[in-house]
Amino acid sequence: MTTTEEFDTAVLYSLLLKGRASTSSIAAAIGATEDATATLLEASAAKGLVLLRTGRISGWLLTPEGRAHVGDRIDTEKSAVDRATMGALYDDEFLRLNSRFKELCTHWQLKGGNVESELTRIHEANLVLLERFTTSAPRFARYVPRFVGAYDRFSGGDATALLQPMRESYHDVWLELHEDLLILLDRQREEGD
Amino acid sequence: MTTGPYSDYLGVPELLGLQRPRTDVPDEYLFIVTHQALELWFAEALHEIDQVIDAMGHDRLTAARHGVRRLHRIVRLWLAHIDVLDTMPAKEFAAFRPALGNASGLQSGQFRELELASGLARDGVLRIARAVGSDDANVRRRAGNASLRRAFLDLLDRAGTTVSQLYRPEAPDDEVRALAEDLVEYDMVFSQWRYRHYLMVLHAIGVAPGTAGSEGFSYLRKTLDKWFFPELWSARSMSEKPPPAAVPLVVPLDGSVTADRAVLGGKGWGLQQMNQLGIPVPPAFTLTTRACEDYFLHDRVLTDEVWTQVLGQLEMLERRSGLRFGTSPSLLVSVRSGAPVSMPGMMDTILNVGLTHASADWQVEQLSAPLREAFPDLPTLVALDAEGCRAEALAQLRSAICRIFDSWHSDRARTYRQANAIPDDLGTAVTVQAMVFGNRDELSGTGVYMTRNPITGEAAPFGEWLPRAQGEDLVAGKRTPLPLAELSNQQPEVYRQLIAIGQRLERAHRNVLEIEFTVESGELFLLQARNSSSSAVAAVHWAVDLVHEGLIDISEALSRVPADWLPPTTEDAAVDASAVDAVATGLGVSPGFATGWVVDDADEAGDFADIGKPVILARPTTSPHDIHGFLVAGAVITERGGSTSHAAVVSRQIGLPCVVGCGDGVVKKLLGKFVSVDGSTGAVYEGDLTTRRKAAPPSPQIACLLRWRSESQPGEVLS
Ligand code: HEM
Repeated sequence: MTTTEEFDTAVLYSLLLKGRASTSSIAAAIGATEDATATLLEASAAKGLVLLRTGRISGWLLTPEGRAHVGDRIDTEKSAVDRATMGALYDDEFLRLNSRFKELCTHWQLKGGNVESELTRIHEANLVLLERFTTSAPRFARYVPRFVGAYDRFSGGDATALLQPMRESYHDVWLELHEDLLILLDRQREEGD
Repeated sequence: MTTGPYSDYLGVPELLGLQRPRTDVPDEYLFIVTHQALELWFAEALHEIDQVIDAMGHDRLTAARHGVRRLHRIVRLWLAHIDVLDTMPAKEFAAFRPALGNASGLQSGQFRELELASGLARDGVLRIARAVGSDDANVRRRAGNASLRRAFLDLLDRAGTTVSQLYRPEAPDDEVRALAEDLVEYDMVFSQWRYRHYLMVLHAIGVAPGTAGSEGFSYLRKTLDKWFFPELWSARSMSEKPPPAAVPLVVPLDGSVTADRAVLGGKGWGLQQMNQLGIPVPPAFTLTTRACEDYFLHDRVLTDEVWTQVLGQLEMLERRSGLRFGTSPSLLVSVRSGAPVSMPGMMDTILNVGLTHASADWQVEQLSAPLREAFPDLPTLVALDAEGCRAEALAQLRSAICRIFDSWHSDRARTYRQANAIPDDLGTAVTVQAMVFGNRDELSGTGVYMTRNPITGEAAPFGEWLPRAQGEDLVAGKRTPLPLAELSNQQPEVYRQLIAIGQRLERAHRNVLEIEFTVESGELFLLQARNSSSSAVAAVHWAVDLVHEGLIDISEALSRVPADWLPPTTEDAAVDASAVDAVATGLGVSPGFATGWVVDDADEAGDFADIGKPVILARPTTSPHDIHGFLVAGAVITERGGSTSHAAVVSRQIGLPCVVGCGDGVVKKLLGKFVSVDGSTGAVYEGDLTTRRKAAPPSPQIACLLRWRSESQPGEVLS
């Protein structure tokens, strides 16, 4: 993260992907400290871009102004990256991997079977794919430690690291990546997702 | 009692004085008579065997054959005796069984004599006889005498021949061989008696086949492997097999040749299995692992020998599919690796190989981009004339095959093999298969068929059908599929065929299967079949049903249900569907019951939850943005999507009832209403139906499984 503007975009963009999120989960996602992230979120709140909701599920969310603000930043990014290449990768590789991953999730839930070898294969393919996304849009490199972290926790015996929502599980990171690609490529989520 | 010459001659009074039932149970008389009759026949059979052995000893082939054929008839008669005794109801038998004490056919000395006289190995027979105290003088004498088997082998010896020569294809069809065949038939009918008796025992004692049951059953089952003439059986079977040939380079997968998994790779082997079961798969052929070896031996060149064979097989594909490669109407093929284990870094699949300007317009439009990417170095889709198109298509095929072979030695694949101790020289096979298109016309489509319901366990077909679509569309969830039953409305004959195949595969695999299929212009093709995943309750139902259908035994059934599984409690009870109409129905993908106010926004769900109101989240589809809504809602409903959709996966994970695919407009219809959601049946009701739920008694399957479980505990009862 080099400039404040980049930092600012990263935080708000991460919030856009997550919908509602705590300071710590945003910090973890973008690889920043919690303090810096909190300071920035509070400053953004003062500008009316985000607000903090309390209640049973508390967390930050974007206001309509915040959404517009991030929208502008994304447009800038869109014009900078090689969207044709990324789009082709999305269609040919990501969607296929996505359906394999979803099948794996379903299989694991319904049968509780052993999915480790299939997850390893998907994970390997995913890392290769991320490398290729990164060539077009460098910030995609940030997904790598997140996926690796979730994968390692799962292989280390933490069963929640595969699917548990809002815990930085493999599935959580996957959904964010998917959402990220949809936004960047102006795609619609497919019906069954 | 009458006396006279007849009675005197036959000893009738003595004979009729020998039936001494120990109880008043009427059928005990039949039980005794049947055993006695068989003992008489055993004696007669031994008498015949003695004569046959004598005839063989004197090389009197015709007399020997005559005697052996008489034995056939005698043993068949024993089968008929069992038929009569088999009419005895299990409870009659149970009523006098205690009076038998330890008496069992196992102690029949004559039966041991029969086994010895026929040719069973001496030590085993004597061991049993000794164990039950029936190694009397007769049995011991038999053990020292020649048997049918020995006499026949000696006869061959004298004739200067051997068993295997006898069954050589060029051997004459003479009396000796005819005698050998007679002996084999005797072995067969004797074995039929063993089996018939075994079935009667199951029947009389009232136990399900396949049960581990008592020692008696498993003992009897093992006796089915006892044969008098093992050399004859093995020589016969050898004679029908062609001599082992060198491993071929290219193999058609049409059932005409069979090859091992190591040669065909997993993919080709799987297709070969399907073919052997008569299951329609798109036509295919495989370049074996030997072709891979050959390729590397020739410095990464497909030799003319291999390529010529590939062209020959390609012609077969063309003939069988009615399409032409590189011309129109155009045959496209998939080219897949078939390593014995799948490996990161290995090329997996190249689709749509053979696409040229000669292909149909829709194909060119939809498929050209990925193909160009697959062959960046090849001029693809440049030729416009027929000859050029054919050449282009062939170049693609050749390059695809080479690339898959090459990828066997890619750095990643090699590293992986080193890390996992997989030998480098295994090689990969390459399977080339005609592609079928589910998006071709109105009579085309694709689907997934589970041979039984994976959620409830019901023994009824289940699955999804997506007309006018390719397999990828289905797994990618691009469109909401229809229930499989729709296929039976649209194409009843295809549906019937599909279901019949599913049943056949279930029998072959002894498991519930998930089958991917495509229908191209009204013709059914299976793409893949694997064991289906299921909910815990479904696993129980399947396991028990499969036992009752004779596909697996009880211990296997028990092993298919997690040891810590417990039956559902009344809290999971479903709404009694006969009593009320649902306002919406979809696919129940995560079980449970919940009530609440319907909202269509995750934030609003949060607001409701904050003030303590129960809430149900209804969305057209869900996305990660809705997660916080999931965490406060009592249940989730969606308009679109299937059992792998985001909503389904997340709900199952956090144990939330969920109904997906309720159809467009449902959110609007339900918004603001108070509803009850049943995540097992997929029904949504208006109002609070908490009290209308009926705690169904545990299904017979669940009850049965629990019983088996308790019976399988140590200390089981023997019969
Ligand atoms: C309801 C009728 C019958 C029942 C329930 C029955 C049950 C059994 C059982 C359980 C065995 C296994 C050994 C053991 O556990 O004792 C056995 C063996 C045997 N039974 Fe029966 N049996 C019946 C009728 C007969 C009849 C009519 C015969 C005719 C002689 C017969 C002849 C034999 C013989 C020869 C064996 C030993 C088989 C061998 O060792 O290969 N059984 N029977």
